[in-house]
Amino acid sequence: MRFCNRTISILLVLLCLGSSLVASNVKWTNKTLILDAKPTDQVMEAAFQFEVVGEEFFIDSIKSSCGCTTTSLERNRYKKGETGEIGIRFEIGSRVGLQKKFVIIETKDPNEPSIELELRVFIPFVVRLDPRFVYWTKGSDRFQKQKIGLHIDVDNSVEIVSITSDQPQLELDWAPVKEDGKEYQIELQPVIPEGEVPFFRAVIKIEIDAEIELKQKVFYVYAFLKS
Amino acid sequence: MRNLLLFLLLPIILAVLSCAINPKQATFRRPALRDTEVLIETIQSWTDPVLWIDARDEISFSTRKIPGAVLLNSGNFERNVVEVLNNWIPSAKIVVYCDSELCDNSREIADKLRNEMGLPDVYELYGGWDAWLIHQES
Repeated sequence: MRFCNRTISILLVLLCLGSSLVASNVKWTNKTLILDAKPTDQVMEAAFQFEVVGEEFFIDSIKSSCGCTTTSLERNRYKKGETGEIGIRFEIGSRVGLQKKFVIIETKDPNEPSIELELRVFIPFVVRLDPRFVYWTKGSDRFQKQKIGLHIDVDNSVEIVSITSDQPQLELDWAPVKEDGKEYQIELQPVIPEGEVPFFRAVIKIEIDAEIELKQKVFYVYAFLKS
Repeated sequence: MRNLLLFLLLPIILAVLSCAINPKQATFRRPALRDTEVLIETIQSWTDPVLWIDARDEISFSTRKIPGAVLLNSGNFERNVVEVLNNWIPSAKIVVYCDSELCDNSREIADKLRNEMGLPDVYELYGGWDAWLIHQES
């Protein structure tokens, strides 16, 4: 019985010691922030909020995984019971689709010297081109027609103003696939006049207009005839 | 009873030992290679030509780069992707790198080349430029 009491005491001491070694000093409202951007958004801003539940919380540094994100912090030192937040600003640029950006916080807490925070932003496609690059290689007598799908991924009305190629050796045709004006197909075919060297690097420019203010109204597709 | 106590004690001892042995945790949880990540040793074993894409900033690129690498990052994508496509040949494998394990620019650019441009065989260099430097020095 005496052995049991002593062992239980040791166990409790070790349990306290163990939990103090592994317990987090800070409670985060959310370590992962999930945001949905609008097609017109240029910048997304959010904040990771925390509360100091343990001893003092000291932030040594904050690192971002991408140059497109900047962080802000009111101060480096927070006392027990205080709340704070790490602001994050994400420059969307030309990014589309799901974006995952990480922030690493380095602290003076030996139990948690670094904390990883994640920002996930879904940026809707306005125009999705599938694919944006097609190519042919020399050697085949006849160059096959290649197709590119053009999908309008927003609910708003979007008009195709023009689709043009900078290469006369590339024949271009485009037409709607669906009546709702949300899907088109672009067909490309090299036409090499006799006696000319079959080689070109074409840039196809797609201009759109929409009822909403878009950050991008010109899109490019590349079509190369390679050696 | 003693066995039960020892059983309860064991995870605590392991936790304390783990803290003592590894007080600094890894800054990023990157335990294993992603499907699209490759080690330098793997790249060296390839027989196909490799097109290196440098997804770091322009200053880092102009200071030092992997020989033959082409600069391509999200800031200059539309301007520089033409050069990438010019240098690419159908038999080539593309390897994108950024600064280190900390950055994710290489993944972003590799995703764009794969998903938007439709290019096959696009990989990211595990450990990025840091891994390349370590490999060069060893």
